[in-house]
Amino acid sequence: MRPVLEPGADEEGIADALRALCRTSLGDRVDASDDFPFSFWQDLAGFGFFALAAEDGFGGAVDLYAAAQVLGAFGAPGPLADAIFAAQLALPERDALLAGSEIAVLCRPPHIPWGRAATILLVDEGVAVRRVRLTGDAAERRTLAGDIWLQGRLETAGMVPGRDRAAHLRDIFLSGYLRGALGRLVEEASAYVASRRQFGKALSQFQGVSFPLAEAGVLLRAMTALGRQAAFSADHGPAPHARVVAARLSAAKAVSRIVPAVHQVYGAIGVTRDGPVFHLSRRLRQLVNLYDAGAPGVPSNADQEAGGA
Amino acid sequence: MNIWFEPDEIAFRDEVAEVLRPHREAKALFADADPERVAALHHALVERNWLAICWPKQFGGEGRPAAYEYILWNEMAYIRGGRPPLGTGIIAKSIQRFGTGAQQHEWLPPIRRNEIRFCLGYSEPEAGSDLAGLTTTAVRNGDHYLVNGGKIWTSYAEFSDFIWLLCRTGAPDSRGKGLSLLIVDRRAPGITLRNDRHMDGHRFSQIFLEDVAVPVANRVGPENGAWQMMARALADERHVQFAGARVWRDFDDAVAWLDRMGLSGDAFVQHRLAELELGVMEAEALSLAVLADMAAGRDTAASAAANKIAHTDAIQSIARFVMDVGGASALVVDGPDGPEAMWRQTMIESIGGGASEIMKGIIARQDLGLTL
Repeated sequence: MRPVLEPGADEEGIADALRALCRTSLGDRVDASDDFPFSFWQDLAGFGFFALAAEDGFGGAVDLYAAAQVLGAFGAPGPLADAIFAAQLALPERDALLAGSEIAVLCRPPHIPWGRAATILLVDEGVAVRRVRLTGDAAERRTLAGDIWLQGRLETAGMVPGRDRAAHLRDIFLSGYLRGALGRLVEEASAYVASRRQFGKALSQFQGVSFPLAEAGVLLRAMTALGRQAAFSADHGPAPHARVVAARLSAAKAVSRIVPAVHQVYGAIGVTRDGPVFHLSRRLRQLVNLYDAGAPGVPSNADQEAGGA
Repeated sequence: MNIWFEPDEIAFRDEVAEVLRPHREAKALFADADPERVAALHHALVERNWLAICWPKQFGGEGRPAAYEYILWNEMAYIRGGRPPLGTGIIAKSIQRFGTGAQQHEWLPPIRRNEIRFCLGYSEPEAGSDLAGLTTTAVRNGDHYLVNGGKIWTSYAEFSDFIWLLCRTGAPDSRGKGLSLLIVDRRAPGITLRNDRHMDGHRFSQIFLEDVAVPVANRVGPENGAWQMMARALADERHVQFAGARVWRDFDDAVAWLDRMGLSGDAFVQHRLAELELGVMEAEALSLAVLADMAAGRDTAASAAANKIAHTDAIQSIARFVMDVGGASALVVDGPDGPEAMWRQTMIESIGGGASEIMKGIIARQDLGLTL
């Protein structure tokens, strides 16, 4: 049996180092801010994160998946998935992008996420990547996750090749990021219900409380298995597309089910603005919307690489 | 699933698929399967010693790694060829681990050749999920135990030659510390059966035991030591209990039925099928994760529990969806692959082999560290 689920030494080393970087650069918790996290971005560039899994970079998709989980657990801000996407493309500014001095974002016209800081504007059209530029004035808009986007008119500046691998790695990153964030939410919620006592016993002793968390545990395992399978497949397999799509969809499904469950088990604390859930749940919801991660599109099981007997 | 296996394992899968090809209509999973076809299927497995594919060679097995067993029963699941026999699985592996040399010599060869069949005498009317509370007693009387009590929900009992009987040899309040495992001749004096039917047509039995004499030589493992043996036996078998291909087969059958009914072109149906297919892929990946845990020597309890929940949720969701959109046509009794049969059969899966609630408890304790 091939070691699809077994973390390698490199993978664990990258995750440990990135965890230390996040602890220093971000602290325990990332709240919404009007400003782009330039300092953190430079730290990531210095770490080599933006070159991770690139064909001329270091590591593979499994390393990227492991790193993404760490960033998700910290709720790391910024257009991280877009940066991974752009790093795979043949862009003239690619060296500067890997060095963190250029910032690429995927626009959803008319929206430009992180628009005040973005220097490379792209549109992923599903089969090709279009480079765009802003024409005329742009309006600032604050989003669910507290980020500031721009809204404006975009015009095409050209096409950029290399979309497929870029999309695969972006989606593997996204799956890992969501896994990391959800894992943290479930872990913290479990600790809370184990310590909080009501009606003379711990909340965890009520099945109405523990079972939704156990169901979250099943979803975490499922998304992890599909995420690792997708990453392993991108590194070793001939046709990772179906597995990558499945990993992305499984992660989105997990977000839609786990986030409400976690809000619920905390009771009133779970729905406070500065409480233990919202700072992550708002970002998770935003990521799922941004990347159409909840949209259907699992290829038919006639695609033998997808699985089946 | 190719990405998970080495070339020799993929070659074995191809070989299994080839051997099973003539037996695709045996459908031993179903209650109304043709006995002659089922016998031919089992003969094909015995002929190749595949029922003992992962047994150690010293016991007559092939000594292959657990992945081979997974592959075999995964392919069997896709043709609906039935579940792994209790005899070659839980029972043989317990005898290999805990039996005496004489017991291994007596029982393993006929089990491997599928000449004798077992049922599991575990559940009781007052001890279902809570097996440590069972009350069927075995009292030592010279070189025999005298067994009194009753078992319930016992699948395959009427077709079995022996009962793998869990009974109390310790004090009434000894819970899991006072249980032993006996091999009991199902036709021994004092045993009577009352048969009933599951929703899917399978028969199961209530077993009444009244002063049944069982040789002490038929006790496997130490007296009062059954609890650890059962845990070990479960761990040895988790990778083959809920294979991913079963879920794929349900999905494929559902798609085929919707095609025949002219429903599969509908946008809503296609959207929902995509969601269901994702559930199938999750279940398959989780079943492979159980195997990976076993291969790496990790505890499989929580991963197997997650797999079972995902598996049963996927097949029940598929069946419910086909019923939801199938209207009156879905209600017509139309063989074992039809929607109404699928709906009845899948309902059982979240109870048998450990109810979903028990599985969630395992995950809450082991994955999340909760005290229930």
